[in-house]
Amino acid sequence: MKQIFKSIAFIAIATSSVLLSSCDSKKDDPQAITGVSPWKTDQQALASASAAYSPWQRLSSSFSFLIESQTESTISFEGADDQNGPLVSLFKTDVNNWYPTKIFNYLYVSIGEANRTIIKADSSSVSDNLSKETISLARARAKFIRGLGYLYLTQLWGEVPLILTTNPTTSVQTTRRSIDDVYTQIVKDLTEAEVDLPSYDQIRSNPSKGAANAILARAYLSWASNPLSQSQVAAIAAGKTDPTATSWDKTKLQKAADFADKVINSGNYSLESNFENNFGVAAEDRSIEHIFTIHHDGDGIDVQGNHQTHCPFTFRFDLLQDNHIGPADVTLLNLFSDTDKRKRFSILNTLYNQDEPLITTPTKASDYKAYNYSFPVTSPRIGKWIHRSTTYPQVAPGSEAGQLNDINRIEIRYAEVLLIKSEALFYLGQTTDAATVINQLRTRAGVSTYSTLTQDQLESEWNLELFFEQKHWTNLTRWHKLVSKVLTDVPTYEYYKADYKDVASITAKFGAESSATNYPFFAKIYKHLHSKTDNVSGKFYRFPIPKGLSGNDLGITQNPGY
Amino acid sequence: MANLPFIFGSGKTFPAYSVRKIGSTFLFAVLFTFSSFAQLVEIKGKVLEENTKAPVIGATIRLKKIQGGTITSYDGSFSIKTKSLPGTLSVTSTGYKNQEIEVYENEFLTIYLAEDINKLSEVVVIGYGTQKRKELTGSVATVSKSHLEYNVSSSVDALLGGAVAGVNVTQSSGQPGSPASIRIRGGNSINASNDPLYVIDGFLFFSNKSTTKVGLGAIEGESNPLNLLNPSDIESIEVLKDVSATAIYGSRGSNGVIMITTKKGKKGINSVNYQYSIGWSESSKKLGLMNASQWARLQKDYFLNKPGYTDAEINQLGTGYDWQNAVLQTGVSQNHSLSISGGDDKSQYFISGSYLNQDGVILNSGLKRFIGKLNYDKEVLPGFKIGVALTGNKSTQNSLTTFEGVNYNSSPYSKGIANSLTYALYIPPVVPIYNSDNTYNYSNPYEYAYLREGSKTANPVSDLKNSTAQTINTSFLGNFYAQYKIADGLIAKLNFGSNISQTTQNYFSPRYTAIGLSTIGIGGIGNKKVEVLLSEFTLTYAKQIGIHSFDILTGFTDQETKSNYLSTICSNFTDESLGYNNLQDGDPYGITPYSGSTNSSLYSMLGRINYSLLKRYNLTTTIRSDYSTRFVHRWGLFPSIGLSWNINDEGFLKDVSAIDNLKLRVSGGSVGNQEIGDIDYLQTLVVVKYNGKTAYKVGNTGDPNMKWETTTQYNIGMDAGIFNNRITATVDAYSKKTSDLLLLIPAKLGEENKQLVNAGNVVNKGVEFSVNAILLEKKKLSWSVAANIAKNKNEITKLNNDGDIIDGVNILRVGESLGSFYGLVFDGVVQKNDDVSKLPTTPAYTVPKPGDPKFKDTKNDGHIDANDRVVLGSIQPKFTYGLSSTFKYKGFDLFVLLQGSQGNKVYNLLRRYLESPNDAYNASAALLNAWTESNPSNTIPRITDSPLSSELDSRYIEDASYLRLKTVTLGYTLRRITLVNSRLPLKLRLFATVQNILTLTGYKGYDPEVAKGVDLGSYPMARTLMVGANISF
Repeated sequence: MKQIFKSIAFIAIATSSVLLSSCDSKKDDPQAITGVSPWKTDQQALASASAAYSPWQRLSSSFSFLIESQTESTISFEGADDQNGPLVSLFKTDVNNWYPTKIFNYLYVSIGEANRTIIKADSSSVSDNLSKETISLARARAKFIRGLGYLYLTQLWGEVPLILTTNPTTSVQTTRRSIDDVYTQIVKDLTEAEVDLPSYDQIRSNPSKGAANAILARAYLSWASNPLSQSQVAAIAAGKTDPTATSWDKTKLQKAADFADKVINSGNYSLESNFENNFGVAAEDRSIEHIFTIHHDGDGIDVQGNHQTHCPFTFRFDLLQDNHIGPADVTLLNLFSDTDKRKRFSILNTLYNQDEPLITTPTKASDYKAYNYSFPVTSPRIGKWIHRSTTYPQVAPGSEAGQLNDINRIEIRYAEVLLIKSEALFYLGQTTDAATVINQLRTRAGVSTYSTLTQDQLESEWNLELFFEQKHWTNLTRWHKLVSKVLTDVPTYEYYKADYKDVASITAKFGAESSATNYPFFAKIYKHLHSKTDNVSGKFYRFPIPKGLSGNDLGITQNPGY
Repeated sequence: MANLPFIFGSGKTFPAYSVRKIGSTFLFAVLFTFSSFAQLVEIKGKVLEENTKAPVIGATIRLKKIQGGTITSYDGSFSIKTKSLPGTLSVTSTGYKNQEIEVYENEFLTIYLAEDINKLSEVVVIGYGTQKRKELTGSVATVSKSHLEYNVSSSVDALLGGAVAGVNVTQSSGQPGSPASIRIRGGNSINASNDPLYVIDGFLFFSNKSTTKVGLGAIEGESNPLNLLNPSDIESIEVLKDVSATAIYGSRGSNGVIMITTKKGKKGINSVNYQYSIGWSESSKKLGLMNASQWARLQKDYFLNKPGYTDAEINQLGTGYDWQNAVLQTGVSQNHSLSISGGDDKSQYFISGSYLNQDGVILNSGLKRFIGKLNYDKEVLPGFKIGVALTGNKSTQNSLTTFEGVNYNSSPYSKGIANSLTYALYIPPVVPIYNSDNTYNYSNPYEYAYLREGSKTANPVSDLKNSTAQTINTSFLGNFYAQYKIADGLIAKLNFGSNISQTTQNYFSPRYTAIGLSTIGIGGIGNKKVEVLLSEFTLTYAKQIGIHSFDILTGFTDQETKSNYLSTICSNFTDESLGYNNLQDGDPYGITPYSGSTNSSLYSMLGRINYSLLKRYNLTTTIRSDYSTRFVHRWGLFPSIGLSWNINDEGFLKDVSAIDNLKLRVSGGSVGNQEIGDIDYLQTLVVVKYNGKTAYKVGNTGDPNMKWETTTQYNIGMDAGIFNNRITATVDAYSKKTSDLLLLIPAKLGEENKQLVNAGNVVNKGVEFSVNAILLEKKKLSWSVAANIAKNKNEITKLNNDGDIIDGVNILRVGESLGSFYGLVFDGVVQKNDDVSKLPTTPAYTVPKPGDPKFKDTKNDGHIDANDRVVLGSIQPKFTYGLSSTFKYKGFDLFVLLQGSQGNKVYNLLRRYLESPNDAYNASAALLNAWTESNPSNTIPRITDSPLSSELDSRYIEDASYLRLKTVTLGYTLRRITLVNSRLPLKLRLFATVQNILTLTGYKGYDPEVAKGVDLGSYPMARTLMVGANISF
């Protein structure tokens, strides 16, 4: 009996101790903030909307590699010639290239986050800590960035899938929607966003009505050019000729002009009196010309620092190292007249090193050691994203620490709105009015104004004003001039000449190398320039539909020629 | 004379002892004359196990030709009476070789029994108990004693290499302290873990490699959670392979179960065992790279001659600087192990401690490890037993800093630079390692952008010497049980176990190192604590009724796992001299600090009935029901049934004396896999910063339908033993179907991360064969051989939408194996007389030139592109095999172990990079044979400066079959040396071991053992020579 009692006691104790440890249901709750958690505060709503903006931080310099480098005007020496950057500039972009892969996929990641925010906004209810206005603002911010994302996607890839929900079907993810469908959605998003966005936001990384209207103007101008369809690109893909001249849609041109006017007439933006005040950290959220920017804090702090600083000024005053991206030729210095006030920030061949003062108390730029970015050592640099001395704009810190990648990327500034308006008016036949608009830029630059405008002048002004601000390739494709520009301009370049073919030919022409010379560098430029003319063809009116972020096939029909 | 130790051994004698033997023979002769007068002589003695000197309980003692006998008591002692001497004593005990001893006088006898390797596994450890091998219905393999004793290894998982059929062990990194990859009967899963479950003295231990990773990145390799076990403390290892054996572990059984039992004290004797070994290791291979002259020639002939070399200068350069050699070293390792064990009839103890200090073959890498262990069992009251098994360890692993495998263009990783080893391979041999003043050279003019800041470049030798990548793990594994015999055959058992693992990772890369250059010096500390609590309650009832015997088990278990982590990373330090110990000096880097916590629970109910009829027809039915918080659908039910038939007990075979054992087994059932993240089913939001504020973006996409991965298995097997069990063999055939496969689907458009979903089925089918043979068994000479071979075929039978999932160079396709590679087929090199117009155009739509590679136009459209890709093989071996042999002669023992794998493929990514020459990095010496007009190679295309195709092609998918002479151990044992001040007999064994001395393989990289199938310059395997001594008494 005693034995049985002991047994029961043992079992009872054992069982209860086991059960005690397992009846605490709370421990089953996951320790995570999940997607189904409803917004309870204004901060949560805005944190959700911001998630659609942070993927753009990865793309600031990537846009340079596609939109600048796949043209006649820049070359990339980002690593050996088999690397992604150089391959784009050599017109050897293919489906595996990281830059199109990155931009395409991360724009969709941003769109995915925007979709999530929009749907959550629609299902959120107002409470003490969550106001109706904030819900609307979060939704509007999401719609704005979604519209901007689709604008880049259709400009770079043509027909693209339109994903507007959080749980899209495979069909939605792989079906290429017509260009008109995509633009219709862009206009819808931006128009709806505009309603709930504030008319002005001091923080320019936050979109405002002005930003929405400015991007609407850009979208309408682009749409007005009747972007090439898949079959139109297929027809020219293998050839070395551009499509026939752009046929413009007058209604859409008028819309572009109208939206540009909305920005202009808002009174919230105007041209900086000094062109140079647009650039550098000091301009952030202060320049009256900035309309919308992508925020950057620098490497290791944001998702990816703004390598618009790093890539065009990679090794600073170490002239013998190959820069990541730069002007394709020394003759591009001649794009700007010497009196053009935009020149030294756009393209430079002299810079002073702030870390090497020549005297104890420098009082002028030339009190620092000067470096020449010129033959026979190197070629000019692009100047807009260099962190410069606050006192002397010709002087820049030479250290890594002095060249932080923390300048906000300018997505759109007032000058572009003027150029959009000018182009719209020009193709609407109002060439005099078009000249008047552009003259604002020319006056500020200190160059002669136009009484009327020619197509060349219009196109040239885009390039001079927005040099290396990631407009060039989209402009050339809009004007149907991508191929011809490469084939006509590049052969006129200095380094295209046979003299630069190899070290032997350069030596024969310029004499033997010395320690100060870098002849292999010029032979490499020669090779890149010839590769541009050899390889350019109609297929480069689009980028290849890339793979997914993990190298997976996305199941979307490829663009012609890739 | 009577003081002479009078010991009968197992037939082995030693030179030092032979004098005594002559003496005793003389004694026998003298005593013989007296014995005939004696009346009922009582012979007393003790039976001990030969190696451990533990008492053998229950051994049968008989006098030949005389009826009756006796058995040994708890301390191995016995007494038997006889009318007259001399006589012949026969000593038998299950698991030991029989002994016959001539007895001439009635002095106290100490009899040593040697283990009988073939019979040793009479009782095997199974889930929640033990079972007679004879009554087993499942496939349970026991690792042989010789494997445990002679296959010197510092970790228990590596020890299993080549030991058991169907257990494929891949040691993919030579980093000391890194885990091996273990696959039992192929991989069932793609993204849930394929690692087996370990059961260590009853504690369910899942060796989760993420336990020892704190999320800092930048630290290469893994620290093995199994470092808490010292292989010398292991008594036995059983591998449960089929479902009849594993179903009792339900949702954790699908990858097989490895049962590890550590040593326990034995009743009646105290023994001490000490082992010391010292070893020297070096990289088993070096890669062939260009020397300085060859590299300069390459630059001049094919690139723009950036260095500006003249022909004369090129000739003078010679071999230049060997960076590969400079980062490799000879590593020294030392290992001390001490154990003390013993006990009486009420309590037994086993205490051990060990210290390992092992240098790696790469500079500044290695492992230091302390392990302490205590096993204690006590019978408190009759029928009431309690015990503990406690292990505590601290391991400190120094490894390499690494660039994370992230895909962004400015990462050195994207160019194939994974760590300081691969970077050393890349540095042009014209670049000096040191400056003339013996300081490190930080100026490599050829480096482009990846590892350059201004004029400063990285130096991998300096990197290895000055960087910190340290993983310190302190863990505790404790298991307490109390067992009470309620009634005859009815036993209740309570088990409480805990595993607490505390990991700290320290990381520091000064500003002049590869990782520190762009970050201006970076360092961090991370901590992670993982606690597992296990409570189990089981009731067993065993009963024999006539010809029926039952053994019934029921139970309830609860396992709770909780982990939390915290890490901080800073960069840009003012003063780097304190390294990671002064993080406040730097600026916060990225999202830092970073903390989190996850937990999971697993509740289970289990039951098993073992039934045996006539000890001949056996049945096992098992059911386990698990509730896991890692899924949306949380309950899973895992049943199994197993049958076995001991055919040799049937009348028709009883008279066939050659057959000692013949058993047929069949089993079927299902088990599961729950080894995924704790919250993979949820859509989680994670913090990033934008515009100075928090942004919550989607981390894990989530799946609202996630459920168990279930593996349904069938097994048929046969065990046989012939010629007095001198030859035993086991053959098994199995089929496993894993359904609701937990598959990581590549990020869909609009999502950033891959998501785990239940999508698809995988089938593994295979056969296994193993044989053990005692070829020689003489008094002074024995030779045994064990061999095993396993063939497994892995096939995907269903996928998401049955469409291919192409993920980089890998493809998942119905009809193919997991881990298949996908790419173009290399078809030789275009030669001068080829009609190029007939060849397919290149991916860039150009016509190939002589010297260009040719690819198969599998789509036959005259053009090479991604559509021409085909499956190029997979990482799955066609078969794996092992062979070991133990040879003993007098005091010598020789153990040889071979391990092999056939038909598995590896993507040699490092070779692909090294065979793509450019003007910045060194290249493979293979390019010296590149195609030129005068050297029409058909394997290596002409050298160009741009890749002709960026798609993977079959050149770099290499056959990684190998046969490796893994271990050769030679030992010599001096036995029964009497210490000066003690009468304790001492056994001293001296041994030498060589590991990885020879590998036959066609694989061109460092080592064919690449578990994940992609080789980007993993830590090379070491070739090791070790000598040591083992003293026991």
